[in-house]
Amino acid sequence: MFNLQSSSRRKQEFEALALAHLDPLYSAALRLTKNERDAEDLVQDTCMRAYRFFDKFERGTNIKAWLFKILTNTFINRYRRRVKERSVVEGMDRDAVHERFVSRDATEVAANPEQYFFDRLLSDDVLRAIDGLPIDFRLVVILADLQEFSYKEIAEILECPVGTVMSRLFRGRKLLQKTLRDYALGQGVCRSDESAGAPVSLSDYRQRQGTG
Amino acid sequence: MSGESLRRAMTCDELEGFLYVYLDGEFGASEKVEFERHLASCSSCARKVHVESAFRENLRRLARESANAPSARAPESLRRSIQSWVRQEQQRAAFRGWVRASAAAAVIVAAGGAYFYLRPGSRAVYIEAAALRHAKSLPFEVQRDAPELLEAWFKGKLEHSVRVPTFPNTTVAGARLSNVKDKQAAYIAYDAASVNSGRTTRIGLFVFQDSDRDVPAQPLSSVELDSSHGYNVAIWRDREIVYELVSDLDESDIRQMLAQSALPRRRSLVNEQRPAPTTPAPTVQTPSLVQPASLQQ
Repeated sequence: MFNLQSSSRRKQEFEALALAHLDPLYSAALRLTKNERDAEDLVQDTCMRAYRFFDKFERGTNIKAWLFKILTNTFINRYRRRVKERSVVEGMDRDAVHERFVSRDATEVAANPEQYFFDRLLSDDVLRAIDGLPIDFRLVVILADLQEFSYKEIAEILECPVGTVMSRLFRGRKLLQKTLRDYALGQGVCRSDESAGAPVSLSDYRQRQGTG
Repeated sequence: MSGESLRRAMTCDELEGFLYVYLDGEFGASEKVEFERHLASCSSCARKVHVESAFRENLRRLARESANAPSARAPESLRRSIQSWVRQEQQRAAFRGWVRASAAAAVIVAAGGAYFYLRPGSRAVYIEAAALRHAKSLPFEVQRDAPELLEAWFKGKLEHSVRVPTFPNTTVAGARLSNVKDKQAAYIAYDAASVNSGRTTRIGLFVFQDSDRDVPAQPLSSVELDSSHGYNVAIWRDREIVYELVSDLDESDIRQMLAQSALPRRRSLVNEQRPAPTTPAPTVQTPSLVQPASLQQ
């Protein structure tokens, strides 16, 4: 007769399930909107939608993936146009970054160049590089490397085939590597026409091997 | 077996393209075997995999570091504003339910509400005050599970004696001195096991003296329910004593609970200012929703 208890239960359930993921939602929103105010608005919008559509959430399935689907949809539909794509090196001191990668001891670099390079990377460098990725690549990199979702989860969140996730992740990570290397070399500019390597279609491969 | 031998080996290009699929652990078991078979015989690919693996691990390590930074956490103000929005939304939903239900019960409401409207606002103030005080969850001053012991604790601390009722499927959690607006009150907290969700719900009962009848309230037999700040508040009066029960439970559960409530056997009349009960004790306890008799004197 009265739906007071059901609405109260819904509220308690929502708070327990959804608000537990507020930090990851916010940190992803920061990477998408690139500023704190829009990130807060985006997360608030996401939570409001999630609460209103909470009945549609299939209990027992992955709530985090469900929330991220709402987050990315909300972002794409409402925020994307607002966010100006800023250049990768905007607002950072190029020389200061370069400085960290310059060694007085050449043998140190030669011994293990990759390790040397990574040891000098800061999380800020990585975030800045991610922020500079074109949105399609940025989305998959955020979901895969920052939120550690599986390919299948990402495909569901972005409502695209797993193959698309694979190829975007491939290009996104290559682009990210190039950007970070450019930081190290003090060039600082990344271009999206990365040509080294190409993703291979796993379904094509499986078909060739007869295992698909 | 023959399928296995028909397979051609993975090429360097294919391996390059599958690097991340492999590193992300998204390969099937047999594909992983193919991949690793190639690696074992190709040092240039092995080197590539090593570098990519280091890159991926560093990327994730740095990502985790940045996620743990305070600046990446959702601001407390954001959390609070979402919570308060959800609470409002829940109240709106509850209110829509009430409106629908009330339409059917309009006649009853009109009759029962007449007294309330004689003193508009006054009761709402006490309802809200009780809800807000309950929401604060202040620490208990006494923790006893026996109602008699709580009654003994309250003795002498308030102008009036306090009788601590018991309710089905609830346990007494503790008590403290409190107040509802200007009235000194006893606050008794109960934990109720919710039948549906399996969660326990905290119920608060305020008991205060109102000799001047400032608070419009009916006897328990026609207990009234109101809501404030997301809580349902039942309010009733036993002569000079007003009871306000604050909880998350829904109206029918509260009514049922009140109908099945019981007062501990009266042991003495110390502190009891009013005369011994003259109204006849209920002969049969009827767990009816509208005529709960058990709390009547």
